[in-house]
Amino acid sequence: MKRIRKWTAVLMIICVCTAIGLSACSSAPSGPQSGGANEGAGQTATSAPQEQQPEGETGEKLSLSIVYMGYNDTQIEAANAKEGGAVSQDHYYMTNREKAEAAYPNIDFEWNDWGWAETLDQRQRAAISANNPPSNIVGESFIPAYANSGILQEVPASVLEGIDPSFVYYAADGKPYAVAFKTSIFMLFYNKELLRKAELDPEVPPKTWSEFQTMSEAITAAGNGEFWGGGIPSFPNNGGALRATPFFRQLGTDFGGNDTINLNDEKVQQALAYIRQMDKNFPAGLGNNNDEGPMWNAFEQPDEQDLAFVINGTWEEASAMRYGVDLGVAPLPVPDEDGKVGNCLVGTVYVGVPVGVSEEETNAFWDFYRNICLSEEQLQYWIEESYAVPLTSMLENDALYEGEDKAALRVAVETLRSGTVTGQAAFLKNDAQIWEIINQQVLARVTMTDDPIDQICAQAQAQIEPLLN
Amino acid sequence: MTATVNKVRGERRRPSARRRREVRTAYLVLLPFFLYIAIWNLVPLLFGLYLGFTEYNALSSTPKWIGLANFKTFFSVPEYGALMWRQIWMGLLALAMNTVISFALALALNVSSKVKGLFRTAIYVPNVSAVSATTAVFVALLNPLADQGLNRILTSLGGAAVTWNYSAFWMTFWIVTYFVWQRVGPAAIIWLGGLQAIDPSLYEAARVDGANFWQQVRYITLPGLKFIAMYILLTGIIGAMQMFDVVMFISKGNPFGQTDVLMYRIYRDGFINFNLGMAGAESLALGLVTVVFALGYLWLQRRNEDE
Amino acid sequence: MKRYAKYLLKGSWLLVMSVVSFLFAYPFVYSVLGSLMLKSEFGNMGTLFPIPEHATLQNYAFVFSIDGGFAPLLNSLQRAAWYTLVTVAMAVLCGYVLARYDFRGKKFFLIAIVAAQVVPSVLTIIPSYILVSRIPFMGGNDWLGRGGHGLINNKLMLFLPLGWGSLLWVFLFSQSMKSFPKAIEEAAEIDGCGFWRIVTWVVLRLQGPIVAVIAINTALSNWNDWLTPFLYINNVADSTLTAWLATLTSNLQQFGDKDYPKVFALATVAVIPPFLIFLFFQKYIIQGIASAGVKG
Repeated sequence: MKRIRKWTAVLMIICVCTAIGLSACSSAPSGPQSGGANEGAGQTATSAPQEQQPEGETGEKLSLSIVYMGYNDTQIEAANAKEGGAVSQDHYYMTNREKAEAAYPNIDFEWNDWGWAETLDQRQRAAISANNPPSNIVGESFIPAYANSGILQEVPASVLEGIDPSFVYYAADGKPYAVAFKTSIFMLFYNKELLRKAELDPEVPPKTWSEFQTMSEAITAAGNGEFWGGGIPSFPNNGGALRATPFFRQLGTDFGGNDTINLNDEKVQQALAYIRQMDKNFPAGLGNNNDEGPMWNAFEQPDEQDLAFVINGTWEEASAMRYGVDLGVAPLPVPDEDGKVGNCLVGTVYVGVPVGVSEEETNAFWDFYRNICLSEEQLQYWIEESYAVPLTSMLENDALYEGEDKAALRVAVETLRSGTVTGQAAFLKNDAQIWEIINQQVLARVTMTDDPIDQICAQAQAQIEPLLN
Repeated sequence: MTATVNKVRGERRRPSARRRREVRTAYLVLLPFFLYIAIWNLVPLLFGLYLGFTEYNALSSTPKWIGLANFKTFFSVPEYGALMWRQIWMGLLALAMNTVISFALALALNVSSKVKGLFRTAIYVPNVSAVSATTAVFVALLNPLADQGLNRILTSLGGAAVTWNYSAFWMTFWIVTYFVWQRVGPAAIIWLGGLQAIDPSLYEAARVDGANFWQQVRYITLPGLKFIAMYILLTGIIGAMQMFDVVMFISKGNPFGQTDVLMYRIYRDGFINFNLGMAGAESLALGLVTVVFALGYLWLQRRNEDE
Repeated sequence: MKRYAKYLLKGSWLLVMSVVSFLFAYPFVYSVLGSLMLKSEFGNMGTLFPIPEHATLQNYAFVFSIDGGFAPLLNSLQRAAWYTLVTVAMAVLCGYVLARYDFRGKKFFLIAIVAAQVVPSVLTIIPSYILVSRIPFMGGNDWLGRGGHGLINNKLMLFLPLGWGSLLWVFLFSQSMKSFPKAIEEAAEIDGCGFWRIVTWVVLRLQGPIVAVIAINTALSNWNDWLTPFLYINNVADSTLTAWLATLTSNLQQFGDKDYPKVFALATVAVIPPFLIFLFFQKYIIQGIASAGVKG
C-alpha cells in the first residue's frame, strides 16, 4: 500500500508541474517580453517608457520584432554579469533599447537575440522562409546572398542621407539593400616587446610580404618555442576566408564571386603559398583551429602575449590595449612586386528590412534605426571600440581619431574615405556551402597539410563548379 | 483470453454486449493517440518521400518537382558517397569499441561488492546527461597549444604535444571516445543482465569437468550472450547512423571535412544552406540504409522470441 | 596464501575500477570546477584541473536569475513533466486495451507499433520542419497553411510533437500486463468498476514499477532532447536549457563570447536533475533498458 501512495504522489506532482507549464505557456505565446524588470533603464529614464497601456489599446499598438539591434533582458543580465561590467559595445545595444522604448511609447518592441554568424543566418532564414520575417535582419557575409535572393527591400533614400557609401550594400542590380552601423578593415598588429626581444626595431613594421616573412621567422627563431612571429590565419570558418581576401586582392585577384570560382588562378595559388609559408610561424594548430579564441588570447592575454603579429580588424586596437599589450599598428604588408594595397571590409554589421514586412512596420523600423542606432551619440560607443562609423559627419571629423589609442582607426578611416574597399565576395547560389568548401578544403588544408596547392585548388574547384549552376 | 473471462461470467452478462463495449472502449482509447502520432510522424514521412524529388529553398511557396535530379547528384558526386561511407564506418568503429569496452566493464562489475553501485553510477551518468551539456569540456581540452588542455599533461609526461585539429585520426578518436563515454553505460548493464542470467550450475559443471576460466568464457558465457551481442550491435548501429551531434560539437567535420558525416551534411543542407530538396534526398538514402539494419534487428527479435 | 591472493585480486579490482570511474566522472569534475571561476581566471582553456583560486558562484547566479537561465530551466522542467504525463497515459491506456481486449484491427495497431520502431528519425526531421511552418490557422496561416509561420518560434513546439518512438512504451506496458493477475480486475468489476476506474485505480496503482520505468525514462530523454527546441525555437526564453547549451557549445568553436565557465555552469545545472533521478531511481532506469532490450 505504501508504494501506491508514493506513486500517486509522484503523479500528482507531475500533474501540478504540467498545469503550471500549460498556464505559463498560454499566457506567453511567443509574444514580446514585457521588460518591466529592466533595472538598467532606470538610470537615464527621464521619461520612463509607458509600458502600461490600457488593455483595449494593445491591438492598435504597432509591434516591432528587432533582431540584434538591442539587448533583451537575458543579454543585459549577461552583460552586467561580466567582470568589470558592461563595455562600450554592450552600452550601445542597451541604450538603443532604452532610447527606443522611451521615444516610441506606442510601439511594442521585441528584442531578439539570434546569435551571430551561422546561427543568426539560420534563424533569420528560418523566420523568412516561414513567412514570419522579423522587422529587420542583420548580417555580414550572408547579406549579399539575401539581397540576391530578393529577400530584402530597397533602403529608402532618406535613410541614406549623410551616410558614407562604403557602409551601404549595393547588390548586382546597383540598388542599396542594407546599411551598416559599423565596419572595419584589416590591419597588422604587433607586440613591440617581442620585436625588441628578437632584436628588431619595434618602430619599423614590415612593409612587404618578404619583410613580413623575414621578421616573423626571426622572431619565431629567437622565441625558440617561447614566443612566435605569427602569420596569416586560415581558420576553417569564415574568419579564414575573410583574412585571406586582402592578400588575394593585393595581387589583383579574389576567390571569385557571383557565378564564378577562381581557385585555379595562378595568383590565388601564389597567395595561398605565401599563407602556407607564414603559417609555419604559428605554434602548430593555432592559425587554423576551429576556435579562433586561442590565437587572440596568445596575442592579448597578459599571461600569454607570446605572438608577435596578428591580422585583425581595427577593434583589435581597443581590445589589445585593454590588456596592456605594447601595441604597434601598421597597414597590411603588400607583395614585393607589383603589389597594390588591398583590403576587405570586416566586422561590418549590415542592417536591412526583409520583404514581407508591412509598410508601417518598415517605416517605423527605419525611423528607429536612423534616428537612434545611427545617431552621433550612439555611434560614439563604436569609436570607443575602434570601429569606423557610417555618418559622414563623423567619418570626416579628424578630431575623433586623435590620440594614442586610435592609430589603427585613423588609418582605417583614411582608407574608407578613399572608398575603394569592399566586403568579401559572394556567390549567387549555394553561398554558404561554397564558402564552407573554401574555408575547410582550401585554406585550412593548405596550412594543415603539405599537399600540392594546385591539386588542392583543382579538387575544390571541381567541387564548387557544379554548385554555381 | 477474453473468451475465458466471458465463459466464467457468461451467465451474468451477454457476451455480445460486453464485447461491443470493449471494442468501443479500445477504439476510443487507441484512435486518438494513434491518429495524433500519425499526424506528427506519418504525414512528415510521406511529405519527406516527395521532398526528395523536388528543389526547394523555402523561400518560394511550393517545392518544384525535378524528378530524380537530386538522387543523380547524390550518386554521381563522390562527396556524398564518402559521407555515407564515413557515417557507416565511424558508426561501426564507435560501436565496436562500445561493445568491447562495455563487455569488459560488465565482467568487472559482475562481482558482489559494496562499492559496485558507485562504479556503476560513474559509468552510467554520462548516458543520462545531455550531449549538448557535456561536449564543451572536450572542446576545451582539445586545445592545440602545447601548454594547454590535454597537451599540458602530455608534455609534462615528456611526450610531444599533439595538434589535435590537424589530424583526422585524432578527431575521429575523440568523437569515438565521446560516443563510447556517453553510451557505454546501458550496453554494460545489458551485458551484465545477460551474464547474471546464465545458469550458475553450468559453470559448476564445467569446473567439475576441469575447464579453466577462458574455456568457461568461450563455451558458456559467450554462447549465452549471443542474442544480447546482436541486440547491442544492431540498436547501436541504428543509433550511430543518426549521429551528427557529436561531430557538430566536437570537430565540425574538420580537419578539412575528414570527419564530416552524412547526417551532419543533411542537417547543414536543411537548416543552414536551405537546400531542402537535396537534404530530403540525402535523408531518404540514409534512412533506407538504416531501415535495413532495423529490419535485421526485428528479425533477430522474432527469432529470440521463438526460442 | 590463497586468502592473500584473493585480497590482492580484490585490491587490484578496486584500483582499476576506481581509475575507470574517475575517467568517466572527469568531464563532470572539470565542468563543475570550471563553473566556479570567472572567465578571466579560466582563460580560454585552462588546465587539466581548473581549481579556482577565487571561487565564485556568479555564474550560477546568472543561471538562476530571472532574466538569465531561469526561463529555459522552467521550460525544461515543464516539458519533461508534460511528456512524462502524456506518455504514461498513452502507455497505460493503450497498453491495457491491447493486452486485455479482443477486437478487430488489434493486429494493425500492434504492427504499427513495431513498424514505427523501424523508421529512423532522419526521414522526418526536414519535412517536419516545413510542415510545422505550414500548419493551417496557426501563426497567421490560412486554411491551406500559407501566409504565416505556423508554429515555428512558438513555445507550443516544446509540448506538441509526439514522436512514434514513444509507442515502444505502449508495447512494453501491454507486455507487462501479461503477468498481471486478471483476478484483481475481475474482482474490481464485480464491485462495479468500469474501464476508467479499473485502469486508474487498480491497474495504474498495482503496476507502479512499470509505470515508474516509463515515466523516468521518458522524463530523462525529454529533458536531454536538445534538438527539437534547437531547431524550432529562436528565443532563449522560450527554449530549453539543453537547446541553449547546444547553441552556446557550437558557438564556442567560432564566434561570440567564449565564456566557458558560464557554459559549464549551465551544463552543471542541466546535468543535476538527471543525475539525481539516476541516483534515486536507477533500478527503474536499468529495468527500462533491460526490458526494452533483452525481453524484446
